[in-house]
Amino acid sequence: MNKTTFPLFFACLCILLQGCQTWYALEYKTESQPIQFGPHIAASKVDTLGLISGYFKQYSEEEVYSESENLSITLGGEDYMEENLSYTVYRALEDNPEHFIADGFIEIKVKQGVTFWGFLRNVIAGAITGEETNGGGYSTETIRYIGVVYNIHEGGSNDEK
Amino acid sequence: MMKSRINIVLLTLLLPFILFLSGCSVGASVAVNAKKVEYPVSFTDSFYSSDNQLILNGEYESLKDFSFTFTKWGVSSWIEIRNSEDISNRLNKIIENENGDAITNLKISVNNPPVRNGVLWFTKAVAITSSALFTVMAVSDSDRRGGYTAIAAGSTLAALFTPAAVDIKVEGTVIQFHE
Repeated sequence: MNKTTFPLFFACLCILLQGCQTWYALEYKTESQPIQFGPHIAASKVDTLGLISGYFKQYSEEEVYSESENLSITLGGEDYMEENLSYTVYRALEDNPEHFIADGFIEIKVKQGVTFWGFLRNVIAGAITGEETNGGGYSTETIRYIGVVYNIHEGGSNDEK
Repeated sequence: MMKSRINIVLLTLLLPFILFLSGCSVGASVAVNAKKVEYPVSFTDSFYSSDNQLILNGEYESLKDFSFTFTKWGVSSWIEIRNSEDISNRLNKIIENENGDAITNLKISVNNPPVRNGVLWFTKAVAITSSALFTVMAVSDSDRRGGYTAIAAGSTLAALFTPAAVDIKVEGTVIQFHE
């Protein structure tokens, strides 16, 4: 490998690594109520009502594919999304328009690997075609929002506490 | 001697099943917070000002959209060790640079980097296989027990603490309002 080939190969590898990105987002749409990320900086009194959390989870499992001269086989594979923001976070605000959420933080979890069933599908597909198999891996991305529900105390001030 | 060889061959065949029976994976867990942010930061297009006034969309001027990305590493997927990242300073600086008063429409996105985590997952699978294989070899071969035990212990530690990456993107709009 000469002096120019290696940097070129490295640059291509970096571009390839950067290209493989799928972003899963946590975003909210409400009528008018704020869902604040940081603290609520208040000059006047607010009532703390409790904690609330909602999450978004994306799960994807690749299908297993194997092909021989006159036979190809595809097994499994699925993609699903779970979210309970509307049942918890939105509902809390819709039922109580005077409430708002602040002091929130985000908990992120990602996982990547192969499940036992993914592995088993690889073995079955390989046994049927007698050739090598591809796929079977899974990945999950979970984003959870945890925040504090507040109620604005009209006319009060922090000095009253 | 023959019996121990048969045991090793059987175990080598069984290892992939043992490995995948538990579902081999790498993972990361990260908490993102902004405990020290000095301005209102809202996921929606409204927020409460410091004097408890609800500021709605249309009552403020959008100054600039911003976006930044960072990578965090999770230490282990077996033992839950949660990393945390406080983005308060970055948010404070973004607002101050634009002479803004708050951030609205905050969006936090996650990318599970498939190539990086795929390589780490493969490393972990090799470490688990090596750990199990050398444990059996240490039990069955008393002459080289010390060396095999050391390799098995090293592989177990490598498998336990295989890291995983997560890319996090933060986007939003800096706004200005006049009280």
